[in-house]
Amino acid sequence: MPRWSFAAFFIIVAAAIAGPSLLQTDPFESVARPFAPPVWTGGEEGPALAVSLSPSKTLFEKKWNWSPPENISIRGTLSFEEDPSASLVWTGPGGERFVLAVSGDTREWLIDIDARDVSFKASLGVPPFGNATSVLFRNHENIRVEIEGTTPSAGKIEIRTPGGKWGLMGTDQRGRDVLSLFTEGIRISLIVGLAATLISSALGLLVGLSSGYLGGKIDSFIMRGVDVLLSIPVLPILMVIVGIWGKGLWQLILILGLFSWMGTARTVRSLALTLRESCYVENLRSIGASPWYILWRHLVPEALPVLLAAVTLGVPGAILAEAGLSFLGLSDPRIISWGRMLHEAHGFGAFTAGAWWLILPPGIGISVICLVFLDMGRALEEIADPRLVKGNRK
Amino acid sequence: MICIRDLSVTYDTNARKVRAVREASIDIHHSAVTAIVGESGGGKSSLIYSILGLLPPEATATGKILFEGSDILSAPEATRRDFRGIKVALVTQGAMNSLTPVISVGEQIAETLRTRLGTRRREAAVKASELLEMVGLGPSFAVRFPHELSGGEKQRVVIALAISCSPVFLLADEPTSALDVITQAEIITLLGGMVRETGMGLLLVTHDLPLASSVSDSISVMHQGKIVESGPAEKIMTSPLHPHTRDLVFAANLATGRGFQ
Repeated sequence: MPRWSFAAFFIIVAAAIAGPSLLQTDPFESVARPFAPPVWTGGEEGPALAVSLSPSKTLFEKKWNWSPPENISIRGTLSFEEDPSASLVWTGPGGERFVLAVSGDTREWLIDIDARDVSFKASLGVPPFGNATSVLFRNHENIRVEIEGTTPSAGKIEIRTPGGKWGLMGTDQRGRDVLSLFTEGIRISLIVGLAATLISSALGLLVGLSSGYLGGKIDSFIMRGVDVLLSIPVLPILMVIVGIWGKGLWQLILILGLFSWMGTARTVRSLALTLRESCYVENLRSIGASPWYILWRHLVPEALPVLLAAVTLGVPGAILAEAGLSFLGLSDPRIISWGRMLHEAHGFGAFTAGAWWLILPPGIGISVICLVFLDMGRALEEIADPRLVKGNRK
Repeated sequence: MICIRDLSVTYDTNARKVRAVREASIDIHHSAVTAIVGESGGGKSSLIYSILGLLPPEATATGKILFEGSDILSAPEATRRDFRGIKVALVTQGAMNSLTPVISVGEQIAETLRTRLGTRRREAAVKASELLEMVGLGPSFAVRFPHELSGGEKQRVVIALAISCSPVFLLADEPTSALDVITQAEIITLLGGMVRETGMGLLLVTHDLPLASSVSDSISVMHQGKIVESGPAEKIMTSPLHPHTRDLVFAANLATGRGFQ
């Protein structure tokens, strides 16, 4: 039965496993200026520039289609085998030549230029409060930088501008790559969702089946306990427990698992109550089946569709609960999840900065993963219950 | 032989006590069909469930049920569980939901053989198809699920399941009540035939007197928890003594169009 959700789930899992190593960007490292929008967005701001000149590549030329960057820094050392006579020449818009640096007579030429340097500004004829880059860059004109004169034998110069744009998804408030944060978050969200739901479904099945099948005083005792747990508002309790147990990932999974089994238990119990009285359970007893055998072999498969529904509703629930707790700041800040990303976007003013690239990816990610699980639940239900499959086929 | 002596079953609900069976005594013989006929709520099913030891917890049974001379009513639960299915098996109303819906019928029978008799997997599958054939269902039925069978077919599977461990006695609790008359006749013929072939003893519990009389050797009439009349089938049908039996025979004749006699 081809279902889009299985393909989507496969892609999500593959992205969670292979994504971080494919991207090769450390999600914790600052790569560009804070709140840099994605490169594919329009606007005047240019992308970050990071090029280097070396003995094998003494010329860099590029068409600059954006407004001048905030700053430019040129740093590095070149070494020569003979006494040099070299200069670093920038050809600006309109063919103006700027000699940015001239080698002395040392064989080690150290270059350290920052466009905010007042003496550098003066050498370009820019007033102390002016912007040096406005002379070097102009929209829709070429930029060209070259080492002229003696060819160096070794060394490297790095030319950098703090980019106004970064990558496919821009950067966050600390200049971190949102794409790598997002791929890192898939893994955490999946782990939390699946593990918490497995715990809660197993608990719900166990409690619900034994309560419903055993009946009597045990049943009423368990169900009163469930009522008490159900009547407690969950979020404040979760906040208190996070405060006591700490903010780790496993604590979070355990908390979410331990506080979401009651609904499943109730549904499974009501099913067990009906099935206990059903003719086939009576039949099984009459041929000598033991209670545990009836529970395990006959009632668990019957409860499976209900359980699958609970699982597929529970995974999105757990992901959302994790997002909610993270959004409130109740998760480990060293662990990146989609909820954590939203929390930080909110906390650091992404909304007011207009940084939609910080809010949309985790938001859409959570919605998509929830939809995928819901559809998978429907498909799995049809597999688990032969009545549904055969009925549809006819 | 199963001898039931002075069996009383009392249901102790919160509101009141209900005596479902009152001092009933009845013998169930090998190679014979014994029928219990009576109205709904007359205590017939309670009698069957006390033989199996499957009465609900709020019911208490007193008296004696002797199986091959030993009392099974006072035996511990473990003994009685071994006894169920292997010595005495139950045929319930199969038309509705007497079979686990999520397991194929062949597998249900095979699994019963594996867990109860320790039969190997392959032998159990072969035996399951043989049992299905015995009840008149072809080998193709083994892979089917209960919802793919008709009421009569399901009833046959329930019988196959009941006889899977070759019990000495078969208790049939209203085995035909949800079936159409043609299927009723087929099922009753099947049960009667099995009694003759295998020498099993059959206790047939029904509210249908003509059906019971067509297959039974002896009939007991139950009324308000008491066995009011017992005897050979022809005698009950031709010269009923108790007023309730007379009502039953009268109603049966009315239904079959023979009118007043």
